[in-house]
Amino acid sequence: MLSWEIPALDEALGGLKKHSFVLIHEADPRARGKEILFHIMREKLRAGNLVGYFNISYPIHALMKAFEVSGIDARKYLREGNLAIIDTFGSFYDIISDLEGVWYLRGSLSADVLPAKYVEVVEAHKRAWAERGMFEGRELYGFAMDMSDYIDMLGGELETLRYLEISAEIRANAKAYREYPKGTNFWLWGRKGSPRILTSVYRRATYVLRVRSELSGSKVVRYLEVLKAPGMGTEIERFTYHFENGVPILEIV
Amino acid sequence: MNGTERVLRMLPAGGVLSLIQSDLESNGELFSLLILRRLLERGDTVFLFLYEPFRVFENNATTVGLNIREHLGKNLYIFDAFGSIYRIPRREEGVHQLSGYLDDSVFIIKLREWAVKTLESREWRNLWIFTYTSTGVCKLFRRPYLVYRMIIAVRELLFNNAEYEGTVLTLSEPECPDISDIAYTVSDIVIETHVVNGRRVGIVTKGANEGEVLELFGGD
Repeated sequence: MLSWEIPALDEALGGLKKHSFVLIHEADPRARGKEILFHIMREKLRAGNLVGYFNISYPIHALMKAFEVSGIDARKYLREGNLAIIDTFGSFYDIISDLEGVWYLRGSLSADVLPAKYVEVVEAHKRAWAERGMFEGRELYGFAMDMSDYIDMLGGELETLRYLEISAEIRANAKAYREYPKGTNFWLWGRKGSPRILTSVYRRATYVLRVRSELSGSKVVRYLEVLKAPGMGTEIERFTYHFENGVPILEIV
Repeated sequence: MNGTERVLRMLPAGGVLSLIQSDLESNGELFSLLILRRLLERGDTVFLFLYEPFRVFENNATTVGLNIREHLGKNLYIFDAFGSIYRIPRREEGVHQLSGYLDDSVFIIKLREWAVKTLESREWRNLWIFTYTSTGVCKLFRRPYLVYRMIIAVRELLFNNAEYEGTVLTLSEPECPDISDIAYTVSDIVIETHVVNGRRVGIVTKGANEGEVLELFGGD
């Protein structure tokens, strides 16, 4: 079992199953679910692990600012090779940076060709990790954010649904995933799209956490609910949380 | 210390502050103009990105006791996105508009050209970036979430150096929920403005002073 980097979750869920898919559904931006994902990523990098970040949402310069605000020294990890960024946003909208460790998908892009292009860059970077002997003693994690932005990028829900459902099957057969170590993956889903498409991602995930916030008087109350997990009971596990220096602090309700 | 001063002290040097007007009746937009007034009156330089009609901006500034004409071209420089898109010419010194054909992507390219040219034109000191209101992108562009993310990236590229004090983004959640998510992610400080028990308050929802509640108007 791996760690969630959040003690309350490790305790409640008995750790994080290796190679699982974790879906974090951010019901509203004030819940700051993206920062929970960044927190996990920051701790995984700090412990020396390998991270592939799939940048679906932001121009690279905005992403670097977001990393900085969340205390992730992305330039250092890119340089050292622990962090690889697959810049889907930049590839689609032609915003290219010369940062080391940032990969672009080449040629025309659409829902149909995206799975194969991802496989290509993932394989290329995993080969680089293998050649440098970096898999030894390290875990591999993937973070993708924000998956719901595919709806705009790929031109609609039907295309996105097709992409999501086909790509996992293609991945499973690819050399990048058969011959090299596999990762444990975190996906963030924002508030775009209909329930139909969220349902499909929910079904694929091993764990589903939903974060949301509400106002009680002039106090923001944030909730994290474990909606799906191996070995779950009848009752939905529910936490409130707040941030201290960018670290989410959970308390059981 | 009044609300504006407290908010300005929360912001780290070169940081990004997002003011999100969650309830229209909280008048968070006017509070952000109070911050603008404070910056201009103490002599800082402000680049203001205007996504609302110029007269609406001017009238609301007047409401909070700010006469923008005293500062235009001296320490206030306006990038008039609204007037550029609808081709409403403005002759005032210190107001810049884009000419020619504009769509989502052409706008970003021209915005960047203007910003580079203006920044290089002379020495700037105590420079602030200000938007009134970021939410306007939802009315002006076909794909606002995308344009807004690009604008944020341009800001990062150009204003990420010395002599740069900070950024104040003004958002209005009910009009344009699409852009709040990036505001949360890239901001050092987020303040949402609400009406709670009949009082107009700002709630710090991100940053070192998280949970703090501010009186938006008046107070000590």
